[in-house]
Amino acid sequence: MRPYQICTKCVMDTTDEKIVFDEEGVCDHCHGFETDVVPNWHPDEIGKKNVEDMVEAIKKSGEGKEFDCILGLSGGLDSSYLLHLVVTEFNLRPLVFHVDGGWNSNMAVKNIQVMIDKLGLDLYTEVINWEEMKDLQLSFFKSGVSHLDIPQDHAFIAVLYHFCNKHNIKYILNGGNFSTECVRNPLDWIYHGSDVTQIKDIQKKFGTMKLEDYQFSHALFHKFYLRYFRGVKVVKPLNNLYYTKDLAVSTLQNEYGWTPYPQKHFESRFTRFYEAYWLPTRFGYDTRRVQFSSLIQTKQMTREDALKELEKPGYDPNTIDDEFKYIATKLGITAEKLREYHEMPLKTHRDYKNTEHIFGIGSKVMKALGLEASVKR
Amino acid sequence: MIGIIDYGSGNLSAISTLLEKQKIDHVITSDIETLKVMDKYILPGVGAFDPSMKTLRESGLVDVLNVEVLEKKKPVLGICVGMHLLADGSEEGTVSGLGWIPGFVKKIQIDPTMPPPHLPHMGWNSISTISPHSEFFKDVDEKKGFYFLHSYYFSAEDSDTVAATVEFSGKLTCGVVKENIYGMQFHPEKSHQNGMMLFRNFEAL
Repeated sequence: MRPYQICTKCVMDTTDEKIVFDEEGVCDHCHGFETDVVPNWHPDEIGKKNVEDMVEAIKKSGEGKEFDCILGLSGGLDSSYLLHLVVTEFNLRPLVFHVDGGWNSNMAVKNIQVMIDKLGLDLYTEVINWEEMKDLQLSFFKSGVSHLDIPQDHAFIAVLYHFCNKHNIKYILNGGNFSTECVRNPLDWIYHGSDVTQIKDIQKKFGTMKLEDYQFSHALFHKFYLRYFRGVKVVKPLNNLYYTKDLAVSTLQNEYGWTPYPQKHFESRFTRFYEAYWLPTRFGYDTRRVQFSSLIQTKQMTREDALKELEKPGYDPNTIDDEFKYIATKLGITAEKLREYHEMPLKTHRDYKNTEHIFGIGSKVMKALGLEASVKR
Repeated sequence: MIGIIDYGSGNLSAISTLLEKQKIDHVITSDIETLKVMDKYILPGVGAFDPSMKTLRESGLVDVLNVEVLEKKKPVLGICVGMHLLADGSEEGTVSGLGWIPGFVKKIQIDPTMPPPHLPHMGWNSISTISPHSEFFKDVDEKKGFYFLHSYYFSAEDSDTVAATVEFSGKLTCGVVKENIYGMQFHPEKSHQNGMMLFRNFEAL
């Protein structure tokens, strides 16, 4: 086992097993930021022009239609701020699309509602078959892998892409951004969400029902077919303007009475449990390292503050027992059973059928063609 | 044949998709002559009460529906705001409803001292059905329940019309039935198996 080491610039460390340090102790995430992210990140005049062109193209494509684009709203910070911009600054007419996987926190529901009300929009909700979602999530628990949030993540993207395909929607507005997520979760922590082979294999081995309503989206479907044969474009405006976490929080609080979450992705109650408790206590993976390192790269947080935060657990020790029971009950199992899954031997995505090598090739090709800034590794 | 009333409010395609899965004959229409030959109706609705009611009135369909539903007693199923329109009116607005089932639509009162719920009531929730209306919920798994998304609810004037309730900041009516008129607060079209069962039961009436 390699000796413990932490980057001297950000807070990524050897819990990311494939991390590489240079002679000054700076990690490959930091180098990747300089070589892959900075050249593609435009909170500047170039970005301003990009946004203007994008808005014009979207308006043109939407002429005569009820909506000119689609925006997936989770209730989280990035998608909420993007909705604010899209309506009030870009004057676009988005179809606001929410996929309910069954785990919305009360705060997320409230945040979605305050925005929809104030902006006078309708919310289009797609609801995942809860019995299937529960069964698939339990299959992932039983499999012992670390990427337990894939059933939700995959459902969100698959439903959105199939909806766009069915209704001939050409522009998907996405809140993805370098400012708060330029460092990516290592592959060994959270494996590719669109490896359908893996999802199906885990369900086949551990599931108790056939997934009839759950929608799948192969990477080939959304990365190639939709893009190049159907002309669907995924645009990320937040990479082309000045965007920071503080700006987004203060704007949303002041304009809408929106409530901030204690941590990124906590709009889902499952994700909160999974990222704050399950991943760090079962695997030693703390996604805050990734999130704080992103904020350090983009100068929104100091390394000292990040280290101080990381000394505290991401979950509240006073309420974790109740939270544990809540998750178990909602999944239809006992807290003891859930504890068994927590203590079982660790597995990785390599223990099940997967197409990692194809994703590896695909990512490299996308990067070489300039279609993707960084490669998840 | 079920006529899904297309008056400009409501998620028609989701309803249609679920009916298609069940091979239930239906048509989405705003045409008066087509509506007249239908056996049953689904009245959808999303958004606020007043705009939905105004749109329905402006569509010119209310008179024909009054005849088909109130006189000819053809079954009708109102969903979400479509259920609210069956009432006499709503706290959410000022215009009169259809007045087919006595009652008034009220905002859900949240007890600030009790955790958590916030409005809207959004997500899956169990329901309890009430005899003698339980037959309409035949084969529905009450515990699994249905998908809800609302901040207002139907407060029925006559307790005999209450067919189902849901627990959210107290006990709320989520299903009303009066003779051939049915109203459901939840979204069967988003509730997968239970939604299919409900549509099947509606078709079998």
